[in-house]
Amino acid sequence: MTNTKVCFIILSLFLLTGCWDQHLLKNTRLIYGMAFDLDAENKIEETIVIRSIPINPDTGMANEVVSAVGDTINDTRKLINEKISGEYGGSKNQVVLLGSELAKIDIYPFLDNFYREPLSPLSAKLGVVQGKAGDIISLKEKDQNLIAEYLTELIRNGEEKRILPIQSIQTICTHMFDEGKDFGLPLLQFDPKNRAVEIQGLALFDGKKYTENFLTPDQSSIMMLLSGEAKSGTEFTYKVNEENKENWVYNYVSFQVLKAKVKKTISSTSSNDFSVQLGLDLAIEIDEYPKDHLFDEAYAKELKTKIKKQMGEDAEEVISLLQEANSDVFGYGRDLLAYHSKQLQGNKLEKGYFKKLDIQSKIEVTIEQAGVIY
Amino acid sequence: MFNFLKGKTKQKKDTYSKSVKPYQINSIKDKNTTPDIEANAEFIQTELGKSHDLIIKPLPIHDKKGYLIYFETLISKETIENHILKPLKKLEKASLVINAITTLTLKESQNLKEVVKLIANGYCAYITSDNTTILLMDVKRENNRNVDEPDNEQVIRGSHIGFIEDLSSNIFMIRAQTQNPKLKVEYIELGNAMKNKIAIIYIENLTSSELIKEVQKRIKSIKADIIQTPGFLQEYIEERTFSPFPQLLNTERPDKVVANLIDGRIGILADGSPTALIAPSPFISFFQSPDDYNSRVLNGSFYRLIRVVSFFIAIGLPSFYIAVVSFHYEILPVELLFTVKSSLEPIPIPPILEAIFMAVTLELIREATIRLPSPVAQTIGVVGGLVIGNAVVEANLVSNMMIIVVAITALATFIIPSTEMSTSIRLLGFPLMISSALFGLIGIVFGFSIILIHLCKLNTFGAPYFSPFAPLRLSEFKDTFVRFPTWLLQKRPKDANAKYRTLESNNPREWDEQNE
Amino acid sequence: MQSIELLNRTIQENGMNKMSDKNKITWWVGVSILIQSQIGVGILSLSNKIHPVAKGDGWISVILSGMIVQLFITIIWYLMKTNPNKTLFEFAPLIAGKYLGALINISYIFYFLSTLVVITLLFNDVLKRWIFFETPNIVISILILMLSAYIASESLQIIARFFSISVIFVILLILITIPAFSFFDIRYILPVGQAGVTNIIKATHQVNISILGFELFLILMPFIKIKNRKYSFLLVGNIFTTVIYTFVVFTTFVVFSPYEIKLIIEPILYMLKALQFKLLDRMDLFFLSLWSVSVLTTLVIYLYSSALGISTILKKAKHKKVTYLIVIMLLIIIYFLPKDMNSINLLAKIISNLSYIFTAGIPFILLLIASLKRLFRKKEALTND
Repeated sequence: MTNTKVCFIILSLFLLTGCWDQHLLKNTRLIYGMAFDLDAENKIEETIVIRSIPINPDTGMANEVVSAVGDTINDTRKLINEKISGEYGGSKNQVVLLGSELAKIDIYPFLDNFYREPLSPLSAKLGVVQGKAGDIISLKEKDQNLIAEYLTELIRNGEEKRILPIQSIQTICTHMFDEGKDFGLPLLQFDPKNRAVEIQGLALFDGKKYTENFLTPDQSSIMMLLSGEAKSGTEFTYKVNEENKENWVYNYVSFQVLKAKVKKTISSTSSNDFSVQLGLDLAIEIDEYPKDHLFDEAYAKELKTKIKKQMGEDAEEVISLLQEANSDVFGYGRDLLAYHSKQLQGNKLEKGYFKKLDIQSKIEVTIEQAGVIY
Repeated sequence: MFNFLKGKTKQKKDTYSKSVKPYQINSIKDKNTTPDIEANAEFIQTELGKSHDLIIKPLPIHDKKGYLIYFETLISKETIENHILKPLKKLEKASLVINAITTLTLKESQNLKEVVKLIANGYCAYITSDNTTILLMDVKRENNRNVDEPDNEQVIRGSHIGFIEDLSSNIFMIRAQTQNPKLKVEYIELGNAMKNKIAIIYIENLTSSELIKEVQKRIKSIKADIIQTPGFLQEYIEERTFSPFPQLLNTERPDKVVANLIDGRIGILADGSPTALIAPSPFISFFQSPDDYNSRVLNGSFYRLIRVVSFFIAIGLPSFYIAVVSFHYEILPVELLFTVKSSLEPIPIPPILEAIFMAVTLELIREATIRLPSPVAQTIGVVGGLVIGNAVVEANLVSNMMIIVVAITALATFIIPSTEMSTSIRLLGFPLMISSALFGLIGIVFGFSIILIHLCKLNTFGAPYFSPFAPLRLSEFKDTFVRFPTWLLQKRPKDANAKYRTLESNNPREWDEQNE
Repeated sequence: MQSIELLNRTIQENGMNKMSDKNKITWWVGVSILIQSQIGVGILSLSNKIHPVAKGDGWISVILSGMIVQLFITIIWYLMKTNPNKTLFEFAPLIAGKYLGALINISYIFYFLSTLVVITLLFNDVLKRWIFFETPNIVISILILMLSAYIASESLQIIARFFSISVIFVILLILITIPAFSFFDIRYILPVGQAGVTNIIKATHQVNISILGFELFLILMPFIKIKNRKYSFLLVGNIFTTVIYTFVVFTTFVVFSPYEIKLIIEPILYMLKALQFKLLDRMDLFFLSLWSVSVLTTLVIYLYSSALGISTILKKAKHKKVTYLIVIMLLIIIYFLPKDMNSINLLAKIISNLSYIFTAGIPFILLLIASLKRLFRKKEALTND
């Protein structure tokens, strides 16, 4: 009696198998990258790239690009779903590109769906594209690399080289809703002639909007040092000498930061009036210096001052650029709220507080290593 | 070095080493023989725990009372017949008994303690009424049948003998290994239509009397026409017959039985079967192998850990894989995901059927190889493993990934030392697969909870089956996931409820301390 | 003769006689039962609920609430001392009189049952949002309630065995969240005290209701071994729970910016969602799976208590059948209850507000009556002398 019951239960379970929430990996079309652009008629154009499996796997990999135009993200997605075979599987998306036109408006509405869906990939990388983002995705392949992989590697490489801050859709959300900190996203550029993609720098955001200002990779590196996000590994090349034309190759020095230490003190002069003393101590290693005169102490000192001077100038430029864009990537607003909330009017940050900040930077450089030769 | 681990026991130093516990070999009372032959015989009998295999055979010579005392399971009947009985029968009145006996080793003793010890060692004692000296003849049997290592419980290091079909030979192996006079054997005859002798073996004064009573009660209450092997017996005496988990350990290894007896457990043997049952057997005992103790501490512990991992793999890997590919593929990182996806692409059937198909095929191969003679079995292994495996993938019936998963699972189950347990675990894999195919990860967790709850519910002869995990006994973890050095395993497991929980002295490595 | 033996054996084997079940549980199991009855559904959305009130100071509220709960526990502790070998269901009629006692018992049973309903609904709600988008609610309810009945129908000794091992899941739960600390900003909770004392105290209400479960010791206390029945296990268990809750709240507060945390219903899951390891992504799914064991244990202990209550009232020796009956009844109720977000929240709100009566109110009154009675009895004894 009990046995038949158990058998019946097991059988009925079998019949139920495959119901409800099963979504088979086999039937899913895995989306690896997507791009959002603004259409001419203010509609959203979504371009996705699917990594598909060729019938004969030995022949290599294949990509499929699909795009659709709709009013909202979900609308475009519905349209895309009509164009692809199999289930729309967005949960392993690697990279999301936003066209600059669209980013200028407000990026949150385009990401809202990502935050709302439990299956969406929050660790995907984000990037802003100068011009149309869909064009990059439509490349399909870039020098034997599938485009989505190429893009993620490109951005990841930038993060490793300390040109770009380490970010994902998830971390952006935190800063988007944070009145005291802004963020920057990788700015990509597409050269249709050479079919080339490169990192142009860091697109600066004010709140949820792209400000149209951006930092070049070098400036971005300095920004990362100043904000304390990059502790080591940043590389720079400076022109330090003015040799004559034939010897121009001896003009440059390349170095990398071994240790960076940020000291900041925020003081308030009067209520709602703050100044920031930003001190940056760098220990550097000379990577390339053909002139080879570092055994001479005085000479080394001179080199050091030159680097320091140029870096100071660069830092000031970066700060003024940031203030112009009102993009508080340093998170000074957070500092004000956390440590100086009493001096703030009504315990709240006013809108353009970052522009009003008086930021003084001071950079100290020590040459710690020079490789195995002087 | 491990002093901190035994800090607690250290304080009670004196209470340990000085006292001899009544189950130990030295616990026999030191007593000289008395002229009263009955008293002597009685003493020997009590000290030997009135074991059922102790034979006290009256052997009067010329009207003088005499007893021949021996363990029937230890001696060789032939030797006694030829070297003791025959010469004694022919003995003339004037000559001495001692001169007539023709065994190789012959001892005389007036100390009953020594006598008892020697009897437990395979000697035969002859006491007469007129003499306080007891004659002791070495009549220990030698095994004339090859005792092979059991095929299903092979070890790399350690003894390579196994039980055979003859009960008294099996008891001989146990007696010969322990040489403990307190080892008691009780015979029970079972079966209404076919009699079979069942032996209950334990160490007197050590094994808890409640446990002994419980085992006796359960065995004696069996009313059946036939009890052929311990397999029959097991189903009659274990708590829950429908549980997938075996509640009595099956073993064919005398060393395993002996180790368990010393832990205060009971061994059950039946005539005609080389399998011994051990009661009580908690869950963890199915994962312990004599190899662990024979190899070095680190090696032994490493293999313990491997076994724990293999348990989880065996029970959960296929279901986890099914949950991943049919519910939560997001779990896999993108590079791995693509590999999995491309292997899945041409497969027309859902993963659950794939898994069941493969698992059943594997069972077919396994079953086929057992039944066939070994040269053919190898061929079947090759045909099954390589040919079917390859063809199934070629034909796009089962994905490569699934083959890998099922193969790893199969390997993992075969690592578990006990065949019974390994089969149980393989069996449990199926419901877990179904629950994962229904509810994904949550299904696995729920399925796992059911197994866990079931384990918590189980008892083995009154002791919690899943100890030392539930109820939690941290001190017994020393012999679970890892194996501590044997001199640190000083407490007997609580499940057997032995009368004496601590082993040996508190300082088994005395020389080490002296060096310090 | 034989029948008596048989009877003895069945009693021995089942060991279900709940009278003989008392005085069996050790200190450690007591701690683990307390922890696992306290940690349950509430842990996921706690941060989201207290942030609007206490802002960045929510973690202070959690600690504060731990103290308040400790106070409640102390009341229960002293109440249980008046009748050391009786459960609430057994001693309530003795203290409050036959009719009032019965009323108290029935209301407690109702409270436990409604808590069961709320927990199941919240569990369903979370799973529906995160994993089971299309699976019918009732299926999940059947699953988890049947599973809890499977173990709750056993004796407390066996339940205790399960609890002593399932504590590992709670520890794993916390271990999983640790990698989330890779990106955090301590400034989100600074300056300390920004919300003001009143708001911090107000927020403790939200914590109190998700830290519930200790009131079960009104029923479970006699089952703990006398020699192990020390105040320390209640203290240790509650401190452990409070520390875990504080950790969870603190983590989510420093990882998410203040505005963001208001949007996210289950911050702890959200935090784990983006975590990536070399071999596994989406730690939130693992967290959910482990967390469902925590919910299971909470359900088990509530179910056991209510079944025990009903069988005490009905004067039944075993509670196995009662347990399954309760589950079937609950399933019917759950099937007909509205399951949209708002009505679940409303129901949860009603039950949680009522909980104060059952966790602190009634025990305190009973304690008062019991000690007054004793006082009078002493006086009487004195005057009689």
